[in-house]
Amino acid sequence: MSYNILIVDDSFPMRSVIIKTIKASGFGSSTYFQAGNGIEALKVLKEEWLDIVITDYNMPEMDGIELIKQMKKDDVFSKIPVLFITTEGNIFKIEEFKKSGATGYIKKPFTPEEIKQKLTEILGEPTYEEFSDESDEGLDF
Amino acid sequence: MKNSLMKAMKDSIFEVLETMFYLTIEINEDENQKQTIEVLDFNSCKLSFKGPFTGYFYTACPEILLKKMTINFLGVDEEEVTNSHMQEMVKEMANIVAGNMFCKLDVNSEYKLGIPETVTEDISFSEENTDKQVNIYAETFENLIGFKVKIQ
Repeated sequence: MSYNILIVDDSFPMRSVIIKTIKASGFGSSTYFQAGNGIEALKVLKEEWLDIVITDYNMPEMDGIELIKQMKKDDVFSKIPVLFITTEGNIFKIEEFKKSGATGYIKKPFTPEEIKQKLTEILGEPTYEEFSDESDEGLDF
Repeated sequence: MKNSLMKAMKDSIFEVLETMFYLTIEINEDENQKQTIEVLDFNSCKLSFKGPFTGYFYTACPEILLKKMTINFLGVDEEEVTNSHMQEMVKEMANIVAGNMFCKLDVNSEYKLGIPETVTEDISFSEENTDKQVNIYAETFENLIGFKVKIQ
């Protein structure tokens, strides 16, 4: 199964690494969209059908929490799972993520195994074809 | 404060550089060692933090090492690496190390991190460690990465 995945982070290197790590975790045949903040993410949401949004918390212009608030106002967007990938890991922030309606969170630094576990919980197991697609591409880590 | 901050910094630096940047490092705690990292507009950054204590987190990385890290991190060829890529790279490293450090320091306290910004002033990583500032060098085989926490 192929998924449409939106990565929202103001850091271009971090977006690249998240995509590479997701591919390495077995979701290689998915299609990836990128946004640099919540405002750009909302534009992508209006144009593309997405299976999951993976977002940073701390971003200029619109942060991850505000993005979820905006998504919750829309009947379609509110049903899309949202996963935080963030450096913020204190108990207050985790509580804020939960209250916002986020599906889950992963703390940086992260490993491919952690990403795979979380995505599998939300999207289901990646298929054999996805692994085989990834093996053709090779890993650059 | 000095000892707990140093431990949190060291643990975070090890975890982040090894997990996400695939670097094998050693921590250099010799306060008398006068080593310098040339601070350029793309190889250093600072970010503010506010919480039980307030201040700035600084980092600087030699250009040659930063370029290697950027190539590994982005999976691009050497000729494709730009100063902008390296600037983004060092900012991301600072952000992750600082966020992870505060979690290790006290997961029950909230620290708000600012957006990483380019450093415009000189930074010394060779100053004496005190309750108000801690300097740590992470050593790779060939280079040093400097980290500093300065409390206001």
